[in-house]
Amino acid sequence: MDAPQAVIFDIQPFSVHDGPGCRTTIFMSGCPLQCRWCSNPENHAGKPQLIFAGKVCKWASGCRACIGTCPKGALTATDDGIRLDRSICRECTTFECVRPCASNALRVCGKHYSVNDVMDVLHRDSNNWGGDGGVTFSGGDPLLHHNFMKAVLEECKKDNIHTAVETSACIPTEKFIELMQLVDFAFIDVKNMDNDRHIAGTGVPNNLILKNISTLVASGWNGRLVLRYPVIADYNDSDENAVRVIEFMKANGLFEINLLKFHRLGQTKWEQLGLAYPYSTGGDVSNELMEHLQSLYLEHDIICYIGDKTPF
Amino acid sequence: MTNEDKLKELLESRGIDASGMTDEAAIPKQAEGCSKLIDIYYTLKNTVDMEFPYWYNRVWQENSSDVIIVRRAKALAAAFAHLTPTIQPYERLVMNKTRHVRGAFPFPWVTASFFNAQAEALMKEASAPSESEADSVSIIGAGGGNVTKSYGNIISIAKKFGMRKEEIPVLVKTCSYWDGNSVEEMSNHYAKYTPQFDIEQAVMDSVLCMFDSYCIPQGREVINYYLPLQYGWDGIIELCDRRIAETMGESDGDGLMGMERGYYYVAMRHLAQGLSRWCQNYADRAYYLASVETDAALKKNYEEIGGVMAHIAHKAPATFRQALQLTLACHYAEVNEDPQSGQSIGRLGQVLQPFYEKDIDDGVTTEEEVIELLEFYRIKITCIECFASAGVTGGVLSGNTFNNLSLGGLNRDGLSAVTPLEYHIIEAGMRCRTTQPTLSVLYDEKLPESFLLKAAACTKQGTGYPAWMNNQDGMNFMLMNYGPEGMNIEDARAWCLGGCLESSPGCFLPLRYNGKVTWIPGGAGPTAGSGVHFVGLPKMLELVMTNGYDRRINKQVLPPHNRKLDSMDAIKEEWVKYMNLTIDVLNKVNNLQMDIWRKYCPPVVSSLLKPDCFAKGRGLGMMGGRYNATINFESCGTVTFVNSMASLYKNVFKDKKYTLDEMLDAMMHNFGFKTSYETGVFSPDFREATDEAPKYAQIFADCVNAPKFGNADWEADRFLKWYEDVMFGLTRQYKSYYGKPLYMCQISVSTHGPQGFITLADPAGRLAGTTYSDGSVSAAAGTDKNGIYAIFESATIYDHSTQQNAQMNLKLHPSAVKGPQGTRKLLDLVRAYMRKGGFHVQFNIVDSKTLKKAQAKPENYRDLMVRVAGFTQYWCEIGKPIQDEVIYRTEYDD
Amino acid sequence: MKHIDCKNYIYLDCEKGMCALSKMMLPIDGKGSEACPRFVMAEKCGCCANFDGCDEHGIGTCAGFEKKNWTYASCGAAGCEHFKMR
Repeated sequence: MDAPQAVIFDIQPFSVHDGPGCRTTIFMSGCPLQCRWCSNPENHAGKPQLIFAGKVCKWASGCRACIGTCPKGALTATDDGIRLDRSICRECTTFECVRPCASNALRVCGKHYSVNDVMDVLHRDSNNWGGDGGVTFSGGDPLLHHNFMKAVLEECKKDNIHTAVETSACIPTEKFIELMQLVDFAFIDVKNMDNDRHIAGTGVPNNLILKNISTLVASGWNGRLVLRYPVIADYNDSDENAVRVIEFMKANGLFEINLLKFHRLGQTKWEQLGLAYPYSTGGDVSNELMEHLQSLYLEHDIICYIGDKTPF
Repeated sequence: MTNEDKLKELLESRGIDASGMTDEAAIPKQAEGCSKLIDIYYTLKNTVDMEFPYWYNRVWQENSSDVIIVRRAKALAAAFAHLTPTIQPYERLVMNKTRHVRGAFPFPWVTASFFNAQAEALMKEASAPSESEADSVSIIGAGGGNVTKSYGNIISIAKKFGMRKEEIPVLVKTCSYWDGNSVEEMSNHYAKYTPQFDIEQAVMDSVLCMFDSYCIPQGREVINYYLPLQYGWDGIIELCDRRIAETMGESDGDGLMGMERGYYYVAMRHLAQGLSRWCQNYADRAYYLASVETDAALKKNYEEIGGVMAHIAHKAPATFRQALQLTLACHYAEVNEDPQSGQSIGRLGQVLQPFYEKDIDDGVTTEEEVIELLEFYRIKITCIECFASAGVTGGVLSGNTFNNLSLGGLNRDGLSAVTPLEYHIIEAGMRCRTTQPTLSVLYDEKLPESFLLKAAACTKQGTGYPAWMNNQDGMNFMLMNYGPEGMNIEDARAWCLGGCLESSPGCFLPLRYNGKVTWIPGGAGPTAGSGVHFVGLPKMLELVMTNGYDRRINKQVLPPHNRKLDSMDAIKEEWVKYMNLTIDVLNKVNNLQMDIWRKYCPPVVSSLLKPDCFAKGRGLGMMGGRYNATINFESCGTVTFVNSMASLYKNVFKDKKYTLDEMLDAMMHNFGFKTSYETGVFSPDFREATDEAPKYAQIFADCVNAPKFGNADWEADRFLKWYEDVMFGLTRQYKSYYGKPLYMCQISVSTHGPQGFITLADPAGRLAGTTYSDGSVSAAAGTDKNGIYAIFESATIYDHSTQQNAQMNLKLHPSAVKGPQGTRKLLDLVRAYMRKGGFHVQFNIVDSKTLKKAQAKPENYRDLMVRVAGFTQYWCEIGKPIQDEVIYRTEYDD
Repeated sequence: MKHIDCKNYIYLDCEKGMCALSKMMLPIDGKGSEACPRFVMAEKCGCCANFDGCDEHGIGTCAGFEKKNWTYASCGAAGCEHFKMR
């Protein structure tokens, strides 16, 4: 069998909002969900993707370096900049247009990493984290890469590296439970308690996710679990949804949740990928609503954080 | 119950530490009086006037029959004694360099040619009738306190200072006396005898080296307040009398310097008297102001000032306030004796702790009063201006005078030296945000966590201070560099920063106060700078590639090597040869300059203050200080150079994509882009294509995409390692005028702007005229793709303690360090770097949006400060190239 | 007489100062630079009895010290040991 590999689209050292302490966060491509508000859409393809950042393109100051470089004819010049035929670009694996670009406007997002590649980065970073830091695997959904993650997490355990994941938990239960045994800290996203709405927002039902969470807790897993809940107007910001989350948490003995206020920071990336962003309008929630939702959780003795205001 | 309270309750019930959830306490506002003074400060113009030079000049002229050190002491003493004392209402601490609040003055005895050359033009300008009333109103806004243009009755000097027209004839008359016999001209006379002087001149013309040593002969050192704090001016005068009696006419077996001692003590006696009178004049002025003041609180304040000044005019301080005021007097005295920048305060919170402790114990003062005084202290230090030549003042210093205050480190016993007073110094820096004194923490694993967190909380405010220095690196460097002069581990612990980053030797002296002995740290050597000033490493590489010919000024700067550069080794060898030659010719001339300075314009104030001058009876210039291997070689553009080497290696020699000629051709044609000289934009990111752009598009992309320093990539980092290894031995082959080896000082200050300006496009894709990367181990803007930890890894590829410093500037987005958790994580980050042996790190925590707004509307951002390269400066007072660069650096992470 | 020649004038910079009595900003030049009735002459070489022979640039001779020398009218003399108000 080939040594497992995975596509990683970003590695962020001194990551301070993805678990306890200072961390290195590894963003892995590929996700079982396709959330309409996703802030990391570059992971969706699960493979290296062409990104075009029009904002830094030097077309206006006379640069034409990329013109004529695409052997498939996907890149053409127009009066006010370059045009990409994304249907061709999406299938591209050679990215000839990237090399002549000196301003990093055309670039490849995502690279294949072996287990050793990842461990090299972690070994390099490990003496920077301080006492309570470690590695966080995010994405995408890292747990989608079962063999790869198993190997990486086992290496981490050998080296006493604190491991965290940010996962949708939307993977086969057996694999999920197996990987989670190697994880010290987990954020699991809950998007909507209503199954139809869940499908509408993410493309998949929520029953596997909820089942996996319950099974994990029941398994006696001794890591720390914090649910994450993106609050999106007219989608999951109702009291009713909150009450159902609370019921679910109570039923499973969970007591920590992190509400994330809807933001549009990922919008540029949709555009850079040549994709339409479904949430260019709508979705915004007020701070008052966030505090109101927080109070609902707190009333039920559930520890509820908003955004990056966490004790870790 | 609020959500927050409920949340904390729940966290506690679960046994989860909730301390990180608490909002940080709001920082108290600055003291009311401080706000008033700051508001005035923001309206002030940098002003030069002639009182000090007039009196210096007069008394110097009148005492030609004295030996030089006495003659100079008399001149300085008279100048101090005749300065008009200025005290503003609300000030709690007083004294100024001149009668103006942001005052300065020229030092024609050091350099006069600048004025003499324009004497006629200046007189003409001064004689011209005043312009209309409207023109006499100054333009406030861009430039802050800088007087960049003449207006009304004010003449702009060096594009920074304003001088009143009526003083111009005095300036011209005073300077004419020094025509031909200033330090500058005397040393020029002898410099002509140095072999290869023509090469030295060409090197200076090309700006391969930024400026001469005489420009700022002192500073980049740490002051020592011990003698005045222990004895007071009267006590020093008595000591002088005793020592004169002991040494006058007595050689004591030292045929060379023995007889000098008598003159030395006579000089010190004159100086102490002058300084005493200067303090007394402030007392008299304060009492006068009290006599006409009707407001009871202000009257009381003036009376208190009068009491403090009258006391310290004679006696050793007996309170914290007197002690602090006396250190300030010493500081102003020091910066008035020569053009200087980087006269550092040292570890003030340790020096003054005995006074603070006694006053708190006795109930004489409160902690709040102390913090308030320390806020006033910040304003006084911020007002210190330096008048050197235009290039030095604007180009190198960006107007800052780098009066650094160090905190932390170890005490004489090798334990944490942190004092309660140092917490207050940080607190004052948080409440009263001014550019000076900049603060530096001497980080050691032994320092208390509470102190480090306090310091991190201050760094986080975005003021740029404190910067963080590695105490163990500093001590190791001290022992290596000063060991041959007998430095032991105890003195090594007394080091701290002179200037912005110049690690300077120190020692501990026994202060007897409050019935006990406290060993207080202080500076123990002359300037830890003033060797070879700022050699542009990328420019040197350019010259290697152009066979020594500078294409910008069309001049053969270094002799042609005529070698076919057919390997990286060939490039390295020629670069090293050029570097050797350059240091050799520069060092000889600079040695002459400094030798003339020490003989004909000898330091007097610093010869009183620096240990062991007074004990030996010998001036600081004649190696009276304890440690003298202080003179350095300053480099600029390290990472720009490293990246250029990495690209040459990759593109020309390893992948063989281009020939060296093709590379040079691309550089000469600025890769097909307009130069920044043409566009006026100096941001490394700005590019405007010419018709030739397509021709160079591929090579440009390959240069930009070549391995870059700061990514934990050996392909680039190895050139830093090579460079550091080579320079370690190379610099030490050259000896200073003190007969000691040079070493490297790797700070760019602001020279990366002007030296970038004179450098063509480079093989790493930096375009002609744009700034070099700043510091010595900061990644070039936009080239660090692997995050901060990778930069740390690259930076610590060699042992930082082999040189005086290594400079790392980091940008952080404010959101990364929000809240108490953010403070802790910022400290984690600092600690991570320090543990790897990083010597220094400083932070710019401000987003680029703010900076851009401030560039567009400076008048709305008069108080915005940024960290430039080793110091904090008001945004509106730094030049556009550096502004562009800071924005670009900051933007990359937003 | 101008504010700048008054003993209650506090020097700030090359274009202005402050009145110790009123705490108002005082311009050196132009409108508002004229002294008020509470003017007290400040000690400067220009008003010293030892100052003589002032030329059009304000430079004259100081005879107050052992050795005669030139000086200038606007030079402050509050701290001068031989200042004598004319």
